[in-house]
Amino acid sequence: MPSNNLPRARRRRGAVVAALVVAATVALAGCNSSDSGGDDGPAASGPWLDDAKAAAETAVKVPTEIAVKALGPVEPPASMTVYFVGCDQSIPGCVAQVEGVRQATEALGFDLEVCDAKSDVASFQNCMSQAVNAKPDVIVNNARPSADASEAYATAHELKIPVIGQFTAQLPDPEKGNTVEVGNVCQIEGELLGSYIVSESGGKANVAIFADTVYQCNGQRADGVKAALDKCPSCKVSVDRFSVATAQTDLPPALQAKIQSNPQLNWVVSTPGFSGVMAADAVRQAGKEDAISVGTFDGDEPTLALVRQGDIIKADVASGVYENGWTVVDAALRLKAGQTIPDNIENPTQLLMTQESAPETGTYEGADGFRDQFQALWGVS
Amino acid sequence: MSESLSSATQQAEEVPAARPAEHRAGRIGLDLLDRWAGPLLLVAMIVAFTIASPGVFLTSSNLLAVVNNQTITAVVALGLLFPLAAGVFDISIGGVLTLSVITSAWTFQQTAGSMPVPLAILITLLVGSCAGLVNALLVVRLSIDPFIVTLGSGSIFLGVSQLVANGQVVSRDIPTSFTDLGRGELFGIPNPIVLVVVLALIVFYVLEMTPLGRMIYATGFGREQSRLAGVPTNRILVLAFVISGLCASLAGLVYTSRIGTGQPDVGAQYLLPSYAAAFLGSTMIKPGRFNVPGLLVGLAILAIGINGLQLQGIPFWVISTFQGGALILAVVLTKLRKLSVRADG
Repeated sequence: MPSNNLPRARRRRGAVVAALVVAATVALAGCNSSDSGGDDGPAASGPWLDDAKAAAETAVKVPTEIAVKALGPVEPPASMTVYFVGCDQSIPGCVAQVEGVRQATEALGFDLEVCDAKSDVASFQNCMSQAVNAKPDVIVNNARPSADASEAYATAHELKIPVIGQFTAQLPDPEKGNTVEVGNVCQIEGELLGSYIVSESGGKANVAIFADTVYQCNGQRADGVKAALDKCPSCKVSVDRFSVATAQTDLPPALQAKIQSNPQLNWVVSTPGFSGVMAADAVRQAGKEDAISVGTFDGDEPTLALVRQGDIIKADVASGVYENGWTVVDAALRLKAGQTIPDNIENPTQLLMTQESAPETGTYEGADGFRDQFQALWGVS
Repeated sequence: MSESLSSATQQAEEVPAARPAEHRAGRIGLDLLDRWAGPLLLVAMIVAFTIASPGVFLTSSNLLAVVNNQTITAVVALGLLFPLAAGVFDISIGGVLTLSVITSAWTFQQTAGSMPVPLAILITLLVGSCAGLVNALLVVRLSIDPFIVTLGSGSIFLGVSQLVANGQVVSRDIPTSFTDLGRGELFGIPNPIVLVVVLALIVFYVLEMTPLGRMIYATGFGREQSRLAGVPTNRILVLAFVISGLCASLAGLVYTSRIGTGQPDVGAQYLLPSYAAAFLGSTMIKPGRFNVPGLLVGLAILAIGINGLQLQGIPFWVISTFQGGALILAVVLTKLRKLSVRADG
């Protein structure tokens, strides 16, 4: 090749590097995050603050009664097979849902099959197909939208296999989706945490919310936190999204950038629960342990360990971590018995856990004596 | 060297024939630009982001956090340099990292936190080294393509991690004396950063200043020729895989000690940024060779780029796009470099 071609090759390389710089500059010019909220004024008061305080105070009290008690007793069949399509089993909150169902089915002597749907659509579809092929008495879908496996849902409906949605953040759709929904409480959980933050900050909260996009429940939680904070005119809030599938590498720099770019930030909320631990790590790295608190969900053990120590994570909202699974099995019994049950059983009682109110060991499993209450309804001991 | 999947090292470049003095002078200038384009890009990015985010980007707090965020990737990538320099891919690093995360957390959980921290660290490093050894034996003894071997073994290590952890997060009884290692500081510098600096110096010394390093590079540039010249290429490959596994397990220890839990699916996410940094690094400072300074600059370009863009409110998906783009850019630059060298010849 002639030597005068050499600078051309060099220029090509230079052009590629220049393109990178230009792309970065264009991106810099074009993008900005959105904040919403009030001002930084000195005083904060109003009925909204009193409401937030009242909500936060109520939310730390462990309920004494399960919600389905109002539906009356139900007689369980002699045997039953429950097929549980669980969300990503590397997420503690997802594991807890399986455990609750396992406890309840064991109490009744039922069979339980579990499939890990991980965090991708293909795995979920695979699990739902396996579930339908197994022809169980009932299928439970934990956390995924029914539309992601519409074919399997259609087959389940054809075969008259009821599908119970658990934390799917959807209302029931007996024609195409879930027959009944248990635990459509994600927005309520978010509002509880939001109210607590408003209360704790005295109406001066400056909050960054990070919510996963894979599970809609996390989006609803973010909406709930934001809704509570939007009632506070002197609070500020921003919402950023991430995917649990890439959280380990994507979330830390996003958290760090948010912390660094907002010196007034005093709360970070991250959902699901394991991302709260990552948020705490980001706060620690930034050396802002005294300035920024973290709130999260799910009542995971690593999170609660920090909550108990008052170490960065100051609040965790969970909805009867195991009670939820018992409620699912209760719904299965009622469907089998042909009972009329509400579309949405908002049973899993929510609890706000702080350093003062978190259980000394373990997590918030549910209302006081919920296992005995369920077994009394089912007539088993 | 054949350009198969298992060939990680760029082809050795022939020294061009003598050229006119004017042309040589021009080439020296272009060579300098070639070597230092990456660092210059990094400086340009720092200047741009400092202007774009005044008082936020160029602060010790932000920069320390940016570096600290990259420590796990850096440890993995530094270990990865050995197989890459020796001309083979190690795709199993994500699996080894995960296995190490679970091993370290599990040893504490199984002993109700009574396992001495040094022993837990030793066990974890041994597990990582053994994982590397398994890869090496399959590649060397059975002459299986390293890419295929490590792709499969990485998946097996992930599966074993899930098995050990029973598919759950291992988080009980991890002692604070262990988490203090990941969260603590030495003279105001976070311990993970100190670790990366020390490790980088060691890797730099081994690769650049010892006969072993020269043999590793020689193996990468031409395994058969090196073997005929007396280089123990098989032993070099074994060593490269073991060091890669050792560093991946070290990264796992950093993760567990910092986060305080053992996630059974954590490792795979570090594969792309590690490779992106290593390949980007091979285009600068010592172009055509996987080298420590280049890797660190490559890592810094990725980290600073992501941080700077995120300070402007760029959404999360930019990170994967940025890392993937950097990897492709590195390969394109390498290709262009080869073309220019051939044109020169």
